[in-house]
Amino acid sequence: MNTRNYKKDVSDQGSIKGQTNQNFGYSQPQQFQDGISRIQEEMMDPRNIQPDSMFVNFSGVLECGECEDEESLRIEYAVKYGGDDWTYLKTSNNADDAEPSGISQLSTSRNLHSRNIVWNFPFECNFQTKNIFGWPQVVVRLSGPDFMGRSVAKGYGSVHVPTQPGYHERVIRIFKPLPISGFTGFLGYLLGNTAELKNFDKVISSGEGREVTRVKSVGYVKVKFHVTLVNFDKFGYL
Amino acid sequence: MSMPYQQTGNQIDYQEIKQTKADLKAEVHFIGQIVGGLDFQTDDGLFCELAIDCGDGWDLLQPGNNKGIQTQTSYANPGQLFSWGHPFDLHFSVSNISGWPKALLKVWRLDSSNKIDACSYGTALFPRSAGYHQITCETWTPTGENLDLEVRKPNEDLATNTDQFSKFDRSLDWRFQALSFYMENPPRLTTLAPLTTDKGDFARRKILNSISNGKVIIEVEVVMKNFKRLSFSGQ
Repeated sequence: MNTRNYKKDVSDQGSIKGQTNQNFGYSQPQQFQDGISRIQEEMMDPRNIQPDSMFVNFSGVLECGECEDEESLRIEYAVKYGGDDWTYLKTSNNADDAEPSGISQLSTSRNLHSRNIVWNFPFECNFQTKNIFGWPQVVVRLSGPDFMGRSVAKGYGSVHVPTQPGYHERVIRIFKPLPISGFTGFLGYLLGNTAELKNFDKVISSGEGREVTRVKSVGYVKVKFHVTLVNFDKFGYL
Repeated sequence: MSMPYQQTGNQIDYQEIKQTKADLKAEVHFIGQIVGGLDFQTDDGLFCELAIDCGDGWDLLQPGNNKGIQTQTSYANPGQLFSWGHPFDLHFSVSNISGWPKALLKVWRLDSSNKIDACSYGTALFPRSAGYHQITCETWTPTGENLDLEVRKPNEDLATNTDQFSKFDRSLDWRFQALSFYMENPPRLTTLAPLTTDKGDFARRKILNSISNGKVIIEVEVVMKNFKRLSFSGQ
Protein backbone atom coordinates (compact mmCIF):
# COMPACT_ATOMS: atom_id res chain seq x y z
CA MET A 1 0.00 0.00 0.00
CA ASN A 2 3.01 2.28 0.14
CA THR A 3 4.12 2.19 -3.48
CA ARG A 4 1.81 4.09 -5.68
CA ASN A 5 3.03 5.69 -8.83
CA TYR A 6 0.81 8.31 -10.28
CA LYS A 7 1.02 9.02 -13.95
CA LYS A 8 1.89 12.62 -14.18
CA ASP A 9 1.82 14.01 -17.66
CA VAL A 10 0.81 17.49 -16.76
CA SER A 11 4.26 18.80 -17.36
CA ASP A 12 4.33 17.37 -20.88
CA GLN A 13 1.17 19.04 -21.96
CA GLY A 14 2.13 22.35 -20.54
CA SER A 15 4.75 22.90 -23.19
CA ILE A 16 2.31 22.76 -26.11
CA LYS A 17 0.61 26.01 -26.78
CA GLY A 18 -3.12 26.11 -26.43
CA GLN A 19 -3.47 22.96 -24.40
CA THR A 20 -4.41 23.24 -20.78
CA ASN A 21 -4.29 20.73 -17.98
CA GLN A 22 -6.56 17.92 -19.04
CA ASN A 23 -7.07 16.79 -15.49
CA PHE A 24 -9.97 19.00 -14.56
CA GLY A 25 -9.22 18.27 -10.93
CA TYR A 26 -9.90 14.56 -11.04
CA SER A 27 -7.07 12.30 -9.88
CA GLN A 28 -5.61 9.60 -12.06
CA PRO A 29 -6.62 5.98 -11.32
CA GLN A 30 -4.23 4.52 -8.78
CA GLN A 31 -1.95 1.86 -10.15
CA PHE A 32 -0.24 -0.46 -7.68
CA GLN A 33 3.28 -1.44 -8.38
CA ASP A 34 2.70 -5.16 -8.71
CA GLY A 35 -0.41 -4.71 -10.82
CA ILE A 36 -2.97 -6.30 -8.45
CA SER A 37 -5.87 -4.27 -7.21
CA ARG A 38 -6.94 -4.37 -3.62
CA ILE A 39 -10.02 -6.37 -4.41
CA GLN A 40 -7.97 -9.03 -6.14
CA GLU A 41 -5.57 -9.17 -3.24
CA GLU A 42 -8.42 -9.78 -0.87
CA MET A 43 -9.80 -12.46 -3.10
CA MET A 44 -6.54 -14.39 -2.95
CA ASP A 45 -6.27 -14.30 0.84
CA PRO A 46 -6.89 -17.88 2.02
CA ARG A 47 -8.89 -16.62 4.97
CA ASN A 48 -11.49 -15.25 2.59
CA ILE A 49 -11.78 -18.28 0.35
CA GLN A 50 -14.61 -20.66 1.21
CA PRO A 51 -13.27 -24.13 0.46
CA ASP A 52 -15.53 -26.81 -0.87
CA SER A 53 -14.32 -29.74 1.19
CA MET A 54 -12.54 -30.66 4.39
CA PHE A 55 -9.44 -32.81 4.66
CA VAL A 56 -8.40 -35.26 7.31
CA ASN A 57 -4.80 -36.38 7.43
CA PHE A 58 -3.80 -38.84 10.09
CA SER A 59 -0.84 -41.06 10.73
CA GLY A 60 -0.26 -43.55 13.43
CA VAL A 61 1.60 -46.55 14.71
CA LEU A 62 0.21 -49.93 15.65
CA GLU A 63 2.53 -50.27 18.55
CA CYS A 64 2.23 -53.46 20.57
CA GLY A 65 -0.31 -55.87 21.92
CA GLU A 66 -1.16 -59.08 23.69
CA CYS A 67 -3.35 -61.98 22.73
CA GLU A 68 -3.96 -64.82 25.20
CA ASP A 69 -0.90 -67.05 25.37
CA GLU A 70 0.18 -66.30 21.81
CA GLU A 71 3.87 -65.89 21.21
CA SER A 72 4.07 -64.88 17.53
CA LEU A 73 1.56 -62.63 15.85
CA ARG A 74 1.20 -60.49 12.77
CA ILE A 75 -1.15 -57.53 12.61
CA GLU A 76 -3.10 -56.44 9.52
CA TYR A 77 -5.08 -53.25 9.36
CA ALA A 78 -7.64 -51.69 7.03
CA VAL A 79 -9.11 -48.20 7.28
CA LYS A 80 -12.86 -48.24 6.65
CA TYR A 81 -14.82 -45.07 6.00
CA GLY A 82 -18.29 -44.01 4.88
CA GLY A 83 -18.31 -44.56 1.16
CA ASP A 84 -20.41 -41.73 -0.22
CA ASP A 85 -19.00 -38.51 1.15
CA TRP A 86 -15.47 -39.59 1.83
CA THR A 87 -12.69 -39.91 -0.71
CA TYR A 88 -9.41 -41.65 -0.01
CA LEU A 89 -6.60 -39.63 -1.55
CA LYS A 90 -3.74 -41.74 -2.78
CA THR A 91 -0.25 -40.42 -2.33
CA SER A 92 2.61 -41.34 -4.56
CA ASN A 93 4.24 -43.84 -2.26
CA ASN A 94 1.17 -46.06 -1.86
CA ALA A 95 -0.40 -45.54 -5.24
CA ASP A 96 -1.02 -49.27 -5.66
CA ASP A 97 -3.53 -49.52 -2.82
CA ALA A 98 -7.11 -48.88 -3.75
CA GLU A 99 -8.06 -48.96 -0.10
CA PRO A 100 -5.80 -48.09 2.79
CA SER A 101 -4.55 -51.29 4.34
CA GLY A 102 -1.35 -53.04 5.32
CA ILE A 103 0.19 -56.19 6.75
CA SER A 104 2.96 -56.07 9.29
CA GLN A 105 5.88 -58.34 10.06
CA LEU A 106 5.52 -61.48 12.16
CA SER A 107 6.77 -60.57 15.58
CA THR A 108 7.46 -62.63 18.70
CA SER A 109 7.35 -61.84 22.37
CA ARG A 110 10.69 -61.29 24.00
CA ASN A 111 10.72 -63.96 26.66
CA LEU A 112 8.45 -66.41 28.46
CA HIS A 113 7.49 -63.98 31.20
CA SER A 114 5.94 -61.36 28.97
CA ARG A 115 3.32 -61.84 26.31
CA ASN A 116 3.79 -58.33 24.91
CA ILE A 117 4.39 -58.46 21.14
CA VAL A 118 5.78 -55.35 19.46
CA TRP A 119 5.09 -54.48 15.82
CA ASN A 120 5.68 -50.71 15.67
CA PHE A 121 3.85 -50.68 12.34
CA PRO A 122 3.26 -47.16 10.95
CA PHE A 123 0.41 -46.05 8.70
CA GLU A 124 -0.77 -42.79 7.17
CA CYS A 125 -3.93 -41.82 5.32
CA ASN A 126 -5.39 -38.76 3.61
CA PHE A 127 -9.10 -38.22 3.22
CA GLN A 128 -11.25 -35.58 1.58
CA THR A 129 -14.81 -35.16 2.77
CA LYS A 130 -17.81 -32.89 3.08
CA ASN A 131 -19.51 -34.74 5.92
CA ILE A 132 -18.47 -36.08 9.29
CA PHE A 133 -20.71 -39.13 9.02
CA GLY A 134 -18.64 -42.16 8.06
CA TRP A 135 -15.58 -41.05 10.00
CA PRO A 136 -12.76 -43.54 9.34
CA GLN A 137 -12.07 -46.44 11.62
CA VAL A 138 -9.02 -48.66 11.79
CA VAL A 139 -9.96 -52.35 11.75
CA VAL A 140 -7.27 -54.83 12.73
CA ARG A 141 -6.80 -58.55 12.43
CA LEU A 142 -4.22 -60.51 14.36
CA SER A 143 -2.94 -63.69 12.78
CA GLY A 144 -0.26 -66.14 13.63
CA PRO A 145 0.89 -69.71 13.23
CA ASP A 146 -1.07 -72.56 14.79
CA PHE A 147 0.50 -75.74 16.12
CA MET A 148 1.23 -76.95 12.58
CA GLY A 149 2.61 -73.62 11.40
CA ARG A 150 -0.40 -72.60 9.31
CA SER A 151 -1.45 -68.97 9.52
CA VAL A 152 -4.81 -68.57 11.24
CA ALA A 153 -6.70 -65.57 12.56
CA LYS A 154 -6.26 -65.02 16.26
CA GLY A 155 -8.38 -61.94 16.86
CA TYR A 156 -10.13 -58.86 15.50
CA GLY A 157 -10.84 -55.37 16.72
CA SER A 158 -11.57 -51.83 15.63
CA VAL A 159 -11.22 -48.27 16.80
CA HIS A 160 -12.28 -44.89 15.40
CA VAL A 161 -9.64 -42.41 14.35
CA PRO A 162 -9.68 -39.54 16.87
CA THR A 163 -11.68 -36.49 15.80
CA GLN A 164 -9.54 -33.89 17.52
CA PRO A 165 -6.21 -32.77 16.10
CA GLY A 166 -3.03 -33.73 17.87
CA TYR A 167 -1.57 -36.81 19.48
CA HIS A 168 -3.78 -39.54 20.94
CA GLU A 169 -3.29 -43.04 22.29
CA ARG A 170 -5.99 -45.65 22.03
CA VAL A 171 -6.43 -49.27 23.10
CA ILE A 172 -8.17 -51.68 20.72
CA ARG A 173 -9.90 -54.59 22.49
CA ILE A 174 -9.38 -57.79 20.56
CA PHE A 175 -11.92 -60.60 20.35
CA LYS A 176 -11.94 -63.95 18.59
CA PRO A 177 -14.99 -65.66 17.05
CA LEU A 178 -15.98 -68.91 18.71
CA PRO A 179 -16.73 -72.09 16.78
CA ILE A 180 -20.31 -73.23 16.55
CA SER A 181 -19.82 -76.36 18.61
CA GLY A 182 -17.08 -78.14 20.46
CA PHE A 183 -16.65 -80.70 17.72
CA THR A 184 -16.39 -78.10 14.98
CA GLY A 185 -13.84 -76.28 17.05
CA PHE A 186 -11.74 -79.37 17.57
CA LEU A 187 -11.83 -80.32 13.92
CA GLY A 188 -10.99 -76.78 12.94
CA TYR A 189 -8.06 -76.80 15.30
CA LEU A 190 -6.68 -79.91 13.63
CA LEU A 191 -7.29 -78.81 10.07
CA GLY A 192 -6.39 -75.16 10.44
CA ASN A 193 -9.97 -74.03 9.77
CA THR A 194 -10.54 -72.14 12.96
CA ALA A 195 -13.54 -69.81 13.16
CA GLU A 196 -12.65 -66.75 11.10
CA LEU A 197 -14.46 -63.79 9.62
CA LYS A 198 -14.61 -63.49 5.87
CA ASN A 199 -14.31 -59.84 4.81
CA PHE A 200 -13.42 -58.91 8.34
CA ASP A 201 -13.07 -55.24 7.52
CA LYS A 202 -16.67 -54.89 6.38
CA VAL A 203 -18.16 -56.98 9.18
CA ILE A 204 -16.35 -55.30 12.03
CA SER A 205 -16.56 -51.73 10.83
CA SER A 206 -20.29 -51.71 10.20
CA GLY A 207 -21.72 -53.75 13.01
CA GLU A 208 -24.50 -55.10 10.82
CA GLY A 209 -25.37 -58.76 11.13
CA ARG A 210 -23.25 -59.35 14.18
CA GLU A 211 -26.16 -60.15 16.45
CA VAL A 212 -25.82 -63.89 16.10
CA THR A 213 -22.04 -64.17 16.34
CA ARG A 214 -20.32 -65.40 19.47
CA VAL A 215 -16.90 -64.18 20.45
CA LYS A 216 -14.40 -64.36 23.25
CA SER A 217 -12.19 -61.54 24.49
CA VAL A 218 -8.55 -62.35 23.99
CA GLY A 219 -6.42 -59.28 24.39
CA TYR A 220 -5.62 -55.73 23.32
CA VAL A 221 -3.51 -53.67 20.91
CA LYS A 222 -2.14 -50.21 21.66
CA VAL A 223 -2.32 -47.62 18.87
CA LYS A 224 -0.95 -44.12 18.62
CA PHE A 225 -2.57 -41.52 16.39
CA HIS A 226 -1.52 -38.12 15.10
CA VAL A 227 -4.37 -36.20 13.45
CA THR A 228 -4.46 -33.01 11.40
CA LEU A 229 -7.73 -31.48 10.24
CA VAL A 230 -7.97 -28.98 7.39
CA ASN A 231 -10.83 -26.50 6.76
CA PHE A 232 -12.90 -27.77 9.66
CA ASP A 233 -13.36 -24.31 11.15
CA LYS A 234 -14.62 -22.92 7.83
CA PHE A 235 -17.40 -25.48 7.87
CA GLY A 236 -18.44 -24.68 11.42
CA TYR A 237 -16.76 -27.57 13.22
CA LEU A 238 -13.90 -27.07 15.64
CA MET B 1 -14.55 -6.10 4.44
CA SER B 2 -14.25 -9.79 3.76
CA MET B 3 -16.65 -11.70 1.61
CA PRO B 4 -16.43 -15.39 0.86
CA TYR B 5 -15.15 -16.25 -2.58
CA GLN B 6 -15.46 -19.59 -4.33
CA GLN B 7 -12.30 -20.91 -5.82
CA THR B 8 -13.18 -22.80 -8.97
CA GLY B 9 -10.45 -24.40 -11.02
CA ASN B 10 -7.44 -22.21 -11.64
CA GLN B 11 -9.29 -18.94 -11.79
CA ILE B 12 -10.71 -17.08 -8.90
CA ASP B 13 -14.30 -16.20 -9.67
CA TYR B 14 -16.11 -13.88 -7.43
CA GLN B 15 -19.39 -15.43 -6.37
CA GLU B 16 -21.26 -14.35 -3.35
CA ILE B 17 -22.12 -17.34 -1.21
CA LYS B 18 -25.61 -16.89 0.09
CA GLN B 19 -26.03 -18.33 3.55
CA THR B 20 -29.55 -19.37 4.29
CA LYS B 21 -31.02 -19.99 7.70
CA ALA B 22 -30.57 -23.74 7.37
CA ASP B 23 -26.81 -23.40 7.33
CA LEU B 24 -26.76 -22.12 10.86
CA LYS B 25 -28.39 -25.15 12.42
CA ALA B 26 -26.40 -26.82 15.16
CA GLU B 27 -25.38 -30.39 14.44
CA VAL B 28 -23.78 -33.01 16.62
CA HIS B 29 -21.97 -36.20 15.66
CA PHE B 30 -21.48 -39.05 18.10
CA ILE B 31 -18.86 -41.40 16.73
CA GLY B 32 -17.68 -44.31 18.81
CA GLN B 33 -18.18 -47.86 19.88
CA ILE B 34 -19.68 -49.92 22.65
CA VAL B 35 -16.42 -51.37 23.90
CA GLY B 36 -17.64 -54.02 26.28
CA GLY B 37 -18.93 -55.02 29.66
CA LEU B 38 -16.99 -55.37 32.90
CA ASP B 39 -17.67 -56.96 36.28
CA PHE B 40 -20.62 -59.05 35.18
CA GLN B 41 -20.15 -62.11 37.34
CA THR B 42 -21.42 -64.78 35.02
CA ASP B 43 -20.11 -67.61 32.89
CA ASP B 44 -22.73 -67.11 30.22
CA GLY B 45 -22.38 -65.06 27.10
CA LEU B 46 -23.53 -61.45 27.25
CA PHE B 47 -24.68 -59.05 24.57
CA CYS B 48 -25.92 -55.52 24.76
CA GLU B 49 -28.80 -53.70 23.14
CA LEU B 50 -28.66 -49.95 22.82
CA ALA B 51 -31.57 -47.63 21.99
CA ILE B 52 -31.12 -43.90 21.47
CA ASP B 53 -33.54 -41.65 23.31
CA CYS B 54 -33.56 -37.94 22.62
CA GLY B 55 -35.83 -34.93 22.82
CA ASP B 56 -38.16 -33.65 20.13
CA GLY B 57 -35.77 -31.00 18.88
CA TRP B 58 -33.24 -33.62 17.86
CA ASP B 59 -33.45 -35.03 14.36
CA LEU B 60 -31.40 -38.13 13.54
CA LEU B 61 -30.09 -37.42 10.04
CA GLN B 62 -27.75 -40.35 9.60
CA PRO B 63 -28.09 -43.36 9.80
CA GLY B 64 -31.52 -43.31 8.29
CA ASN B 65 -33.20 -45.78 10.61
CA ASN B 66 -33.14 -45.61 14.37
CA LYS B 67 -33.73 -49.24 15.01
CA GLY B 68 -31.15 -49.56 17.73
CA ILE B 69 -27.99 -51.56 18.10
CA GLN B 70 -27.51 -55.17 19.12
CA THR B 71 -23.97 -56.31 19.69
CA GLN B 72 -22.34 -59.71 19.33
CA THR B 73 -22.42 -62.18 22.17
CA SER B 74 -19.19 -62.28 24.10
CA TYR B 75 -17.73 -64.68 26.62
CA ALA B 76 -15.00 -63.77 29.09
CA ASN B 77 -12.97 -65.16 31.94
CA PRO B 78 -13.66 -63.80 35.43
CA GLY B 79 -12.40 -60.25 35.72
CA GLN B 80 -12.00 -59.87 31.97
CA LEU B 81 -13.87 -57.49 29.70
CA PHE B 82 -16.78 -58.93 27.69
CA SER B 83 -15.71 -57.43 24.42
CA TRP B 84 -18.48 -56.24 22.08
CA GLY B 85 -16.63 -53.63 20.03
CA HIS B 86 -19.73 -52.43 18.19
CA PRO B 87 -19.16 -49.16 16.30
CA PHE B 88 -21.83 -46.49 15.90
CA ASP B 89 -22.00 -43.20 14.04
CA LEU B 90 -24.89 -40.84 14.77
CA HIS B 91 -25.53 -37.50 13.12
CA PHE B 92 -28.11 -35.25 14.77
CA SER B 93 -29.46 -31.89 13.74
CA VAL B 94 -30.43 -29.84 16.77
CA SER B 95 -33.19 -27.29 16.85
CA ASN B 96 -33.73 -27.48 20.60
CA ILE B 97 -31.00 -28.71 22.94
CA SER B 98 -33.50 -29.92 25.51
CA GLY B 99 -33.40 -33.69 25.60
CA TRP B 100 -29.72 -34.35 24.99
CA PRO B 101 -29.43 -37.90 23.65
CA LYS B 102 -29.20 -40.80 26.02
CA ALA B 103 -28.32 -44.41 25.36
CA LEU B 104 -30.75 -46.85 26.96
CA LEU B 105 -28.80 -50.04 27.52
CA LYS B 106 -30.13 -53.52 28.05
CA VAL B 107 -27.68 -56.32 28.69
CA TRP B 108 -28.87 -59.81 27.77
CA ARG B 109 -27.57 -63.17 28.87
CA LEU B 110 -27.22 -66.21 26.61
CA ASP B 111 -26.96 -69.34 28.71
CA SER B 112 -25.65 -72.79 27.89
CA SER B 113 -29.00 -74.00 26.62
CA ASN B 114 -29.09 -71.15 24.07
CA LYS B 115 -31.81 -69.30 25.91
CA ILE B 116 -31.64 -65.53 26.13
CA ASP B 117 -32.85 -63.53 29.07
CA ALA B 118 -32.57 -59.97 30.25
CA CYS B 119 -29.66 -59.42 32.58
CA SER B 120 -29.54 -55.75 33.48
CA TYR B 121 -30.44 -52.21 32.45
CA GLY B 122 -28.71 -48.88 32.40
CA THR B 123 -28.88 -45.35 31.02
CA ALA B 124 -25.78 -43.68 29.64
CA LEU B 125 -25.85 -39.96 28.87
CA PHE B 126 -23.84 -38.80 25.87
CA PRO B 127 -21.22 -36.16 26.68
CA ARG B 128 -21.87 -32.50 26.08
CA SER B 129 -18.39 -31.35 25.15
CA ALA B 130 -16.43 -32.01 21.99
CA GLY B 131 -13.68 -34.58 22.01
CA TYR B 132 -13.02 -38.10 23.14
CA HIS B 133 -14.85 -39.50 26.15
CA GLN B 134 -14.98 -42.89 27.79
CA ILE B 135 -18.34 -43.44 29.49
CA THR B 136 -18.81 -46.10 32.13
CA CYS B 137 -22.45 -46.93 32.71
CA GLU B 138 -23.28 -48.97 35.79
CA THR B 139 -26.21 -51.31 35.30
CA TRP B 140 -28.82 -52.76 37.63
CA THR B 141 -31.10 -55.78 37.57
CA PRO B 142 -34.69 -55.43 38.80
CA THR B 143 -35.64 -57.97 41.45
CA GLY B 144 -39.26 -57.09 42.09
CA GLU B 145 -41.63 -54.40 43.18
CA ASN B 146 -42.24 -52.65 46.42
CA LEU B 147 -45.86 -53.25 47.23
CA ASP B 148 -46.18 -50.42 49.72
CA LEU B 149 -45.77 -47.61 47.24
CA GLU B 150 -48.82 -46.84 45.19
CA VAL B 151 -48.24 -45.48 41.70
CA ARG B 152 -51.79 -44.95 40.56
CA LYS B 153 -54.39 -42.96 42.42
CA PRO B 154 -57.11 -45.19 43.89
CA ASN B 155 -59.89 -44.07 41.58
CA GLU B 156 -57.82 -43.84 38.40
CA ASP B 157 -59.31 -45.89 35.63
CA LEU B 158 -57.21 -48.93 34.83
CA ALA B 159 -58.54 -49.18 31.31
CA THR B 160 -57.08 -45.84 30.23
CA ASN B 161 -53.66 -46.62 31.58
CA THR B 162 -52.67 -49.34 29.15
CA ASP B 163 -48.92 -48.74 29.48
CA GLN B 164 -48.47 -51.24 32.27
CA PHE B 165 -45.28 -50.92 34.18
CA SER B 166 -45.23 -54.52 35.23
CA LYS B 167 -47.66 -57.28 34.59
CA PHE B 168 -46.76 -59.23 37.71
CA ASP B 169 -49.21 -59.78 40.52
CA ARG B 170 -48.01 -57.63 43.34
CA SER B 171 -49.06 -59.97 46.10
CA LEU B 172 -46.57 -62.59 45.01
CA ASP B 173 -43.49 -60.55 45.76
CA TRP B 174 -41.48 -62.87 48.02
CA ARG B 175 -42.74 -65.95 46.28
CA PHE B 176 -41.89 -64.35 42.99
CA GLN B 177 -38.33 -63.72 44.07
CA ALA B 178 -37.90 -67.31 45.17
CA LEU B 179 -39.36 -68.56 41.91
CA SER B 180 -37.11 -66.33 39.88
CA PHE B 181 -34.09 -67.61 41.77
CA TYR B 182 -34.82 -71.25 41.12
CA MET B 183 -35.92 -70.77 37.56
CA GLU B 184 -32.93 -68.49 36.91
CA ASN B 185 -35.41 -66.09 35.43
CA PRO B 186 -35.15 -62.64 36.98
CA PRO B 187 -37.93 -60.16 36.33
CA ARG B 188 -37.55 -57.78 33.46
CA LEU B 189 -39.04 -54.43 32.61
CA THR B 190 -41.88 -54.49 30.12
CA THR B 191 -41.11 -51.01 28.87
CA LEU B 192 -37.98 -48.89 28.91
CA ALA B 193 -39.93 -46.00 30.41
CA PRO B 194 -38.27 -46.24 33.84
CA LEU B 195 -34.89 -45.66 32.23
CA THR B 196 -35.54 -42.27 30.69
CA THR B 197 -36.87 -39.00 31.95
CA ASP B 198 -38.16 -37.89 28.59
CA LYS B 199 -40.99 -40.21 27.83
CA GLY B 200 -43.54 -42.25 29.62
CA ASP B 201 -43.87 -43.16 33.22
CA PHE B 202 -40.54 -42.43 34.77
CA ALA B 203 -42.32 -41.93 38.08
CA ARG B 204 -43.02 -45.63 38.25
CA ARG B 205 -39.37 -46.23 38.93
CA LYS B 206 -39.91 -45.63 42.60
CA ILE B 207 -41.72 -48.89 43.15
CA LEU B 208 -38.83 -50.94 41.79
CA ASN B 209 -36.36 -52.99 43.78
CA SER B 210 -33.10 -53.75 42.06
CA ILE B 211 -29.69 -55.25 42.59
CA SER B 212 -26.42 -53.86 41.24
CA ASN B 213 -24.74 -55.45 38.30
CA GLY B 214 -21.72 -54.85 36.06
CA LYS B 215 -20.78 -51.86 33.93
CA VAL B 216 -20.87 -51.13 30.22
CA ILE B 217 -18.00 -49.14 28.74
CA ILE B 218 -18.67 -46.89 25.75
CA GLU B 219 -16.07 -44.80 23.95
CA VAL B 220 -17.48 -41.85 22.05
CA GLU B 221 -16.08 -38.88 20.14
CA VAL B 222 -18.32 -35.85 20.00
CA VAL B 223 -18.02 -33.47 17.05
CA MET B 224 -20.14 -30.33 17.15
CA LYS B 225 -21.01 -27.94 14.37
CA ASN B 226 -22.03 -24.30 14.78
CA PHE B 227 -22.27 -24.55 18.54
CA LYS B 228 -19.89 -21.65 19.01
CA ARG B 229 -21.68 -19.56 16.43
CA LEU B 230 -25.00 -20.07 18.15
CA SER B 231 -23.46 -19.49 21.58
CA PHE B 232 -24.05 -23.00 22.84
CA SER B 233 -21.37 -24.29 25.16
CA GLY B 234 -19.26 -27.33 24.59
CA GLN B 235 -17.43 -26.82 21.32
